[in-house]
Amino acid sequence: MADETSRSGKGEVTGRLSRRQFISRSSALALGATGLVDVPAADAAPGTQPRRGGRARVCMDTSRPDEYLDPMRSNTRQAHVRQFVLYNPLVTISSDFKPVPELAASWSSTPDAKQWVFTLRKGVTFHNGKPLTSADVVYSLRRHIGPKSESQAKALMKSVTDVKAEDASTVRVTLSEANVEFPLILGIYSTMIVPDGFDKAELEKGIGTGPFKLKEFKPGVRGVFVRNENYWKEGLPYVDEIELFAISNISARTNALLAGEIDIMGVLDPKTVGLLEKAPGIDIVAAKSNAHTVMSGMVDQGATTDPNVRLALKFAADRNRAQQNIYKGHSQIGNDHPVPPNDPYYCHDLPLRAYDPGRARFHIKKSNMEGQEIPLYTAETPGPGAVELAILFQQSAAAAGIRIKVVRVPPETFWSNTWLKQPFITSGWNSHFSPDAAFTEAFTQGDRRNETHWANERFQKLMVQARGVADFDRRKEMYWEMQRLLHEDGGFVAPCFYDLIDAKRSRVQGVQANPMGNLGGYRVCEQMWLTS
Amino acid sequence: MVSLILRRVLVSVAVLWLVTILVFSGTEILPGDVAEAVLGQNATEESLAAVRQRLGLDRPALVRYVEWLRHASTGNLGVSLASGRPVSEMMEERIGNTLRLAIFAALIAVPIALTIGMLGALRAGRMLDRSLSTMTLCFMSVPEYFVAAVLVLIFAVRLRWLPVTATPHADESSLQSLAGLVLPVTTLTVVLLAHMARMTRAAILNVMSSPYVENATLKGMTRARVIVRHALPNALPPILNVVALNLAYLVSGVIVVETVFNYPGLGSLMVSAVATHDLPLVQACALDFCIAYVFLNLAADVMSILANPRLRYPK
Repeated sequence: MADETSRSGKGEVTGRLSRRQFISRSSALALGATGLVDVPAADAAPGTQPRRGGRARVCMDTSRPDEYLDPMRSNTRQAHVRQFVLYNPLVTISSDFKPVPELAASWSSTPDAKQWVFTLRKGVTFHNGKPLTSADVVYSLRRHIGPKSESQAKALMKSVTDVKAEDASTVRVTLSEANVEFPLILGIYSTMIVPDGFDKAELEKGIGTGPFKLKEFKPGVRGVFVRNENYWKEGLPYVDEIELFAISNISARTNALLAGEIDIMGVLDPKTVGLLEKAPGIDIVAAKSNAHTVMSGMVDQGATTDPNVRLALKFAADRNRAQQNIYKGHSQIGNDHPVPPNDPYYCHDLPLRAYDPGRARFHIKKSNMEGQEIPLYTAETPGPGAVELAILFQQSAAAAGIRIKVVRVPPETFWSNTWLKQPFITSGWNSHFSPDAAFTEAFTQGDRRNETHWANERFQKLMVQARGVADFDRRKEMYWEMQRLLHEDGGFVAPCFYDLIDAKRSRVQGVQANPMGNLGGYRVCEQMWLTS
Repeated sequence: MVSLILRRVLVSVAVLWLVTILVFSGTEILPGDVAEAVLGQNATEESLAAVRQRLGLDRPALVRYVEWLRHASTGNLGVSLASGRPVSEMMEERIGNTLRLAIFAALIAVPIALTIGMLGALRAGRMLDRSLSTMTLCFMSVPEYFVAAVLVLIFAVRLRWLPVTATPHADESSLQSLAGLVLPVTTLTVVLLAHMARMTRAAILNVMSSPYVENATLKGMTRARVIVRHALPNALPPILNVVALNLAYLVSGVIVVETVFNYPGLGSLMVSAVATHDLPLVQACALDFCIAYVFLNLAADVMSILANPRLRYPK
């Protein structure tokens, strides 16, 4: 959703439609107005049996010339889909965030949850015929630990102190602190299992255990993959061949789906959901996720140092309007912490903070900041709706006497120059596999990614403690308290968790929406089949 | 003539060198660097330092520039910092695509533009001229993005005559790849036509007011013959310059068309390179575009001279 808005010379947003925005909107209007025949959308053929065969064209949103087959360097969503095409992780993450055995047939932990033993599945071979052994797993996991690691998962794997092969199909992982959810970390797209000893260059051959083998790969252009006939999952994959590429321009991508040039597309603009629902032969696939775009204020710099200002900002956010205007209803309302309503750990006791300009004004008066300008830095980069959120917030805060100045920065340098540098910004957090992952990533005291610099002793204590608590109810209590702490005192204004929306042609069946990512948690290629 | 060309070539080399300095400093001044771009949100102090050391970014800018210059002058364009692949390989992949699009667009746009310009001059002030003039003005004013979107909507989505995207694949027939190019070439033609047609018309009309044209008319030649045989050769220099500029644009500036039609060309390569601060790749692309401009301008001048012998001996 890279809408652009015109701005004055100083970078302030003036709220007028930019030329490009006007044109893309009117093109969308033209699309709708040129008489898309209003027939009921072809329903998914009821009870279709999986059919083997066919060639599927899967299209994601971004590709870069610097893309790799190495799963550790998976840097775009298209790359994440590709990892699940060529490789397997030890576990996969179900739609309710439970670890499901994949390359690891079973696992167990010591009672203190600090040592984990994984038993590998037998009879799994890599694409080059070599059987999977614990040596491969040890090598793959070790790539993510240690100071020299350039892995995307390095922070998540921080607590791993040792990975050892106990025998040919058993691996023992030792952690520095208890973590009852440790297996989930091994289910994300970067912790795939690669052959032992393969260095960076050899990894670009794409040899894995996954459902498809590499046929062709041009970074930044496309990848073609053929069925792995020796895949360890009986009967899978259904499709003969996958063509995976990206079309970054969202209108072009949507048009390609409408014209039948692609079979399934990832990342649909919420604004076009209504149009595509009416189009014949097109189905929408949506998953409620825990990814969100937020506004983050540092608690030790700028206006947001004062807790009254933070409360004022939270009450000045019009969540319902954000849900309707920005996400067209395809989102869940957030309560200023990273746990969404559909999560089993969501704190129901905490009343949803409604838009209350009166209370916001009260708090801003208490802090003596009424009428003073508070700059809010934004760009399209952090997440869907980042710019729109800032603009909407400026309006809704004005009614409470809070002057927000929206400063739009160049998208390419957002992470390097604005994130962690400016005191009040829009930010974005991707799908996470547990509330602990969300809390750890964004709120660990002293961690670089703690963008709000929030340091709450009680919160830290609970966070570390909860990782070792296996009992669901006890954990829930602790997470509820942590949510309350964030809700009251934290630096997040988190109005909406956006849905992950994709679209497909009706000939594509078997897609299972998963909150971990678009296109079925990036696993669609293994699951799908074609009806024609 | 030969000495003229030699002199121009020397000046061009100096210009190229200047461009490399400007591009290098420009990219250096931009905040951030490759390490931050590549690691993104996952960067920690240690991994940033590790990447910087691996890529040699901890050396001063001047040292890096001189080293790059030394390698480039022997034809070694270096290795892309973000992806680790040789720059020449990355550019080779895309240069064919860009040239194909450029040549097709040029082959179609230039003759049509010249014809429209000449027709406009032929029937100056009359209905045909005015309508052509208005049409070209409209085309010039509409942004490429909109033209592309409308064309895609009509021909690809509704009529399904042509494909939505133009990404070339190795396993498609030449008919398919041609079909893919139709819409991007049409978009580019619409955009370029106007500039060249209007310049052609203006240059010809300018020459039409000179005495020798009046003489030719008085001698009884048809207006068409006067224009094509006598006025056009003298009006060529400005026309050729405009054509050269537009052709150079086709090589370097068609990023919008590349994005909308998902066409992997040099424009999108450079944009992606700048976004990741990938200096060797940025330099190579910039050099490429510069060479295109310089060469095309030189070609335009040489052709002008050939058309008009008087220019061979500047006063």
